[in-house]
Order: sequence, then structure tokens, then C-alpha cells
Amino acid sequence: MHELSLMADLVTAVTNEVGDARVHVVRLAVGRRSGASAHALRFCFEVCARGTPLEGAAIEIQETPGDELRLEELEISEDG
Amino acid sequence: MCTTCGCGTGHHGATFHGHAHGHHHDGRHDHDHAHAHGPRGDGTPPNGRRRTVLLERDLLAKNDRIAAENRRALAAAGVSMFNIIGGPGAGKTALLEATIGRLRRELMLAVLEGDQATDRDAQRIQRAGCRVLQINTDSGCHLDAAMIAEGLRIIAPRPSSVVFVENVGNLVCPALFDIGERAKIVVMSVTEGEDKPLKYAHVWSASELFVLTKIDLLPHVSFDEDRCVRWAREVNPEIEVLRVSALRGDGMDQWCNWIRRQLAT
Repeated sequence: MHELSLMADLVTAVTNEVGDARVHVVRLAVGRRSGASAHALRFCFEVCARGTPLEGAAIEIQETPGDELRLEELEISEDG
Repeated sequence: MCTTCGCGTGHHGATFHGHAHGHHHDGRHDHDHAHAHGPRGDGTPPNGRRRTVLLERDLLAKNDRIAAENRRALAAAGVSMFNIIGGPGAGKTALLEATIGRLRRELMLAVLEGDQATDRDAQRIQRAGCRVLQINTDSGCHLDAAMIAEGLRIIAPRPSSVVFVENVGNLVCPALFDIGERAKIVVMSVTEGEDKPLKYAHVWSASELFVLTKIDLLPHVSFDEDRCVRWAREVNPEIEVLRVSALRGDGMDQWCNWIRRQLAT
């Protein structure tokens, strides 16, 4: 389940990036030749996001033909 | 010989057990409640303060950063590290045992052994006469760059030595994770079926060498060697191919020469 470690790293990276902001959408580009499964990434994202500012965020995965495995963008809102 | 657990090395952020959950739960939880947002989505004014943050960041960035650091440190010490990948039972450990027997007087060798559990392979490597460290990944399906960084720190390879990393038995995930190796080597036995290069193309395309093992068993199995090699080259036209029997010694000279050639370049 390498998707689990990918998503654990993603949650850490996003939290470092946005601080206390709430994350609504996470957009990824995942290549068909990337070696990672979009299905498993979705599943693992939910597990890893629990209890973090990413909990409940939607994960949108754009499947590409290449070997991309990239966090493209976030939709966030500042609190307060 | 000693054993280290991939998830107990202090490199939690890079390993497996949902660490991000634990790291970020405290504090964030209170924050959410203090601002009374309720369930995700319902507390945000429509289009209000929502904004898009462009990141374009590789998901493997963290692993790749540590791998680059491993590669730099190894190069500085003149150490060559090879990442040996293959399914369980492909003959990776037997290949290493036979290699150690042939090269231990000529080269300084060390082995990092990856398995989910036990130090059985490390015991075999130690009996063959080589410095070895067992890395247990528990639930993990591959070795990542942080585990290798920790393993290298513990085993402290001597300058100008050769490190073989025997990855966790798996043809899928290890192909994805750069550990800072000089080359990936994919190992498959003649008992596994000649179409594996097509079925698990990622690892064949990421490897520089394909070692076909257990060729002493060829008379007893229906395995089409030529088709297998043709398919491997369809996936990766550049890949070198060696046929060996670690048990009987066929092809071991060519394999040892391949390693020597790598060190010479």
C-alpha cells in the first residue's frame, strides 16, 4: 500500500503549506503509468486526512496518460 | 547484524502507519471546534473566502529529496548501491549469497535486507560472510529513501564499498520509490511465468538490468525464455539481461562482471 505513505506525506505537506486554513478540495494529477492507483489514493486520503484540516475535503483526481504523480492545487478558506 | 524496524527509526513522516493523522490531530481539532464550522463545507460562505492555491508539487517530493541526499552522500564516499527488486521467492537472497561468495575477497560488500518481518534473510547473508542490516517494514510494501538513509547510517558502509539493497518481495511498489541507488535490478525466476515483464511493466522500465534466475530449472518448467526477454525489451529496449543459476553457478561470472563494470564507470 504505497498509496498510504503517499497520502500521509501529502497531508503533512498540505498542512505545512496552508497552516490553519480549511481545505475543501485537493486536486491531483495521477498518470496511468505512475504506479499508483487512483482508487487506493482516494481510500488512503480519507484515512490520512482524519483529524487534520483536510478531513472531509474532496479529492479530485485527474487521470493523465503519463507517469505524473502530482499535487496540483487546493481550494481553501481562511478561518475567522 | 542487527534489525531495525522501518517505522521505528524516528523517520515517521516518511513511513506507513498513518502518522500524519497522529501528528496533526492535536490542536487542529480544537481549532475547528472553536470556530464552530460544523461539518466540512457548511460553514463557508458561498465563494466567500475560498481561494485556490496552486502547488504543482510531486507527491514523491519528500522521498525524492531524501533519495537525492542518499545518492550524494554515497557518491561522496565512493559507495555504489544497487536496488534489487523482485517478487517473493524470485531468488534475490540466493543470488546475493552466491555473489558474496564470489566477490567478498575482491570488494567490500554490505547488504540492507528489506522484509515485512523476520531477520531470516539477514541471517543467511551473515552466514555467507557479509555485513548486513535487516529492515523490517511491518505493513509496508517497499523500502523508501528514509529507511535507507537510516539503514546506511547504522551499517556505515566503508568508502569505495558496494551496498546491495534487497527490497521487499514485490514487483509493484518498490519500482516507484527512488532510494538513491546507482541502478535498479529486477530479478525474476523461470518458475514465475514469462509474461511478468508485461504484467508488471513499471519495474522493468525502471530497471537497468534484468536477472533471470533459477535457469537450472528450465528443463522442468514450461517457460519461454526468448519470449520473456523479448517482452522485457518491449517494455524497456535499453535493459540488459543476464541468465543465472545461483545454485549451479551458470551466468554468475557475467553477473559479477556486470557489477565490476558498474564500479568502473
